Amino acid sequence: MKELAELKACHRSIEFYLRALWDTDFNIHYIKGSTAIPYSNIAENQIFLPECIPAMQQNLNFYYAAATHISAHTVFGSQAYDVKDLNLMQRCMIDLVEDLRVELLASNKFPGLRKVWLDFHVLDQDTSNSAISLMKRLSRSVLDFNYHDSSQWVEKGRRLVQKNLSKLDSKALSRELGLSLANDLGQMRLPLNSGSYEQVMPYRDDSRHLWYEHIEQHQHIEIIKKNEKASLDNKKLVESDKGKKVDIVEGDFSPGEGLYINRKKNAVLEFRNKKNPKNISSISYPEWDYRSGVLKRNWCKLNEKQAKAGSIDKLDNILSAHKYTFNRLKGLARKLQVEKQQRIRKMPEGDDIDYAPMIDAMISVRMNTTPDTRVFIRNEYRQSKSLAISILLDLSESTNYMISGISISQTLRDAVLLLGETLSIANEQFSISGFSSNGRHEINYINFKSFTEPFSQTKARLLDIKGQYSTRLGAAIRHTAQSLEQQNTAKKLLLVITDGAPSDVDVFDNRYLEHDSWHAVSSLYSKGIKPFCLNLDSRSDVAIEHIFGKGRFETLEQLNKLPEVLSNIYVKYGRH
Amino acid sequence: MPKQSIDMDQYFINNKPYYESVGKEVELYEAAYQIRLPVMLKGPTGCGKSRFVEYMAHKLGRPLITVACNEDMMASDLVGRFLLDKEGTKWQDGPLTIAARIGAICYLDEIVEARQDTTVVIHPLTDHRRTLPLEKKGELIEAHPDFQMVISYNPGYQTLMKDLKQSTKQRFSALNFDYPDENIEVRIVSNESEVETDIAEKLVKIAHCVRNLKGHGLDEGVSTRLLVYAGKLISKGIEPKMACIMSIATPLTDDPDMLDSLSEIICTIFE
Repeated sequence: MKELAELKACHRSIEFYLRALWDTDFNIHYIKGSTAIPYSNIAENQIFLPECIPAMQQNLNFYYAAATHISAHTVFGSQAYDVKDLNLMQRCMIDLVEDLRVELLASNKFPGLRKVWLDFHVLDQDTSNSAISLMKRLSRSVLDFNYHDSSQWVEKGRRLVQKNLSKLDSKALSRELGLSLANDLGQMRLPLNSGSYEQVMPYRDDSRHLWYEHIEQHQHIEIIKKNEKASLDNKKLVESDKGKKVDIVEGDFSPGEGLYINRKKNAVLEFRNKKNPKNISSISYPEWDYRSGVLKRNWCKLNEKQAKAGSIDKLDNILSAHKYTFNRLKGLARKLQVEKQQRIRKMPEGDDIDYAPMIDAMISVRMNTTPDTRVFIRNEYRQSKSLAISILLDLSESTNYMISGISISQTLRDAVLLLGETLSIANEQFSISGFSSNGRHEINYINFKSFTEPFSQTKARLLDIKGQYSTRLGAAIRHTAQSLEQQNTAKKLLLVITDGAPSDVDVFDNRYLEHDSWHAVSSLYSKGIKPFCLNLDSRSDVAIEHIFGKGRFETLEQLNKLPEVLSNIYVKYGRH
Repeated sequence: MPKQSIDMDQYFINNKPYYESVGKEVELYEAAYQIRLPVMLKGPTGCGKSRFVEYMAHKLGRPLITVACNEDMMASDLVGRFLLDKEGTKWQDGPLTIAARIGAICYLDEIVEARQDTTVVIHPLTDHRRTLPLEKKGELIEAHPDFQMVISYNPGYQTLMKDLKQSTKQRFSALNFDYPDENIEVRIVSNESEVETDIAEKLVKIAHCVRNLKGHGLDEGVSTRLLVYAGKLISKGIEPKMACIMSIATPLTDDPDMLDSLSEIICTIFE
């Protein structure tokens, strides 16, 4: 059987290595199923390397050589050329000079890289002056100061590169030198044997990033993506087209700034008279009317349904996209498990003597008074059932708003997925749900994970997170509190994540739902539930502070920090 | 009770510690000391916080009492306690009390490691009162006019679980420390470990690469202290790659993949 060296053995190490060298993240992907060793390639920071290679290729060092070479192309940039103007020989020579240019630049910064590559520049016995042989020898002679070649063409090429060392930063250099060298080779009437593009060193990439014909397709996709984003950015998002309109004001938002909800002042309180059309089984909840000071019974209808599960593969992709954050959170979860161990002082019996109370006791004995016999320390694990968390997500229309090309709901989904993983590693009890409303008769409550279900079986439902309608917060809080209240834990935390103050299509008085939400939150304390809100829109801080109280909310400054901020909230407010 | 005699000499720093100033921190600290302002030093591990305090104590000619804080530390470990002897009980001053009595600089290293209820005992010493009540003894100590309080901590990811109370934080002026600039770090490494400048440059280059991995697989970048260790091993004749693996790569991580890439970085820089 043919022995193979596999990329998976060094995949992570190489990603770390590239990050350390260039201070940039590169993701490594596998090129699967090919008998010959395929050339590696790169698209932006995504590096594609062959899944396995014959073991004789210097084993895993091949992957280090390939990855550093290809990342050098990204770091030191390349100028793309049009294939039409160039013949095959010219293309190959421009490729070769470009490869040498980035390798020289990289090894100027890290001289040790020269050795990583030179290990593969072993020249075979082929001393024939074929074009490929000459190109290999030129490659070696440029990188290896001790190597001198008998061929005039190789020596000329080496001198040409040496002469231009100060111009290595110029991206046009490859074309200039490449064409000159190709011309000489042409005059020597040395054709390329295979008649097709050939890379002289297997660890080097296929240079597709250098030619327009290859990158055009990629760019085309990019343009489409950009257009999609642009059209979404320009769209004026409205929470509902009926009743009250909550406009998203256009403006230059920096990432994480959130949305500005233009609330109309001095609006009158008004309700839309709409019956629940589907008449599905719904639960009634009261609502607080601050104007009359009355809790209106059975005022809202809430329909609970379960989210649809999506594909697990997609979840894995999300986790790998956030791998560094995820690893950090895993570490945090493990530390929290250790934190569960507690030293309890002043115990009547235990593992160790607590010397401060012991001295006090001895003093009492000498003074002929009765000593306190609680002089021991005991190591105990905190009860594992010490904390229950309910995560309640605002899934109104405004979460579809794009910030830096990613919708708020998508960021929310990723962050909740990471928090869910952290909580399940820390062995906590938790539930995840979301809500949106379309008038008081239609509050949609979507259940992603209940307390009794394991996260591993329910996490695929998070892919169903999407924004629609409006934000009637009070009823959703009351409903979540019901299941949270039943948990037999010492601490109960209700974590609400919202991107604005409450609003709904049938309410024209902004303060109405704000007061109702405040009423719902106030009733939590008597049930032993601590509320906390993560606000994604700094402009609704005043309303959120009114609802949750000072110190019971946090405003997110940068949306991409959401996963970490969520976990911090869990540690800060859930554990202490 | 016989008055306790304290041997002050033991707390003086006799030899001038080597310290490279990276900014205006010496000047700022001196100003803070003149008005006896408590100082907090923040920065990653091994960047020179403790060395700075030693240097300043020596420069100002004050005794220095250092306490390495830990989770099991109680208030009485700082303040003092009654001990038993054959004649009865005897009060033993804690390091904080001694510092307040003799006018030393009291340095609580890694203060977040101590529990929050322990750290509150420093509060009366760090505001306008400058007193330390010894409740068990019924004594109120007026801090010596030269007494100053200095604390240090590392505001890394771990402080999420162990953070200072706002009421503690807001009693201190603070100086931010970080790993020094490349040139200064090269000077420190070659000075401390007596290696040639080119070796020190390579060590610092490794450090810069490794620090790129902070938050991307490593909780913390490599400290100047570890670079000095590597330099010292090299100057003792150990092969540079082995010295770096021993004192830079292996202490930083337990992850075999990360260890591989750190070794690879070391090999790239020390060819």
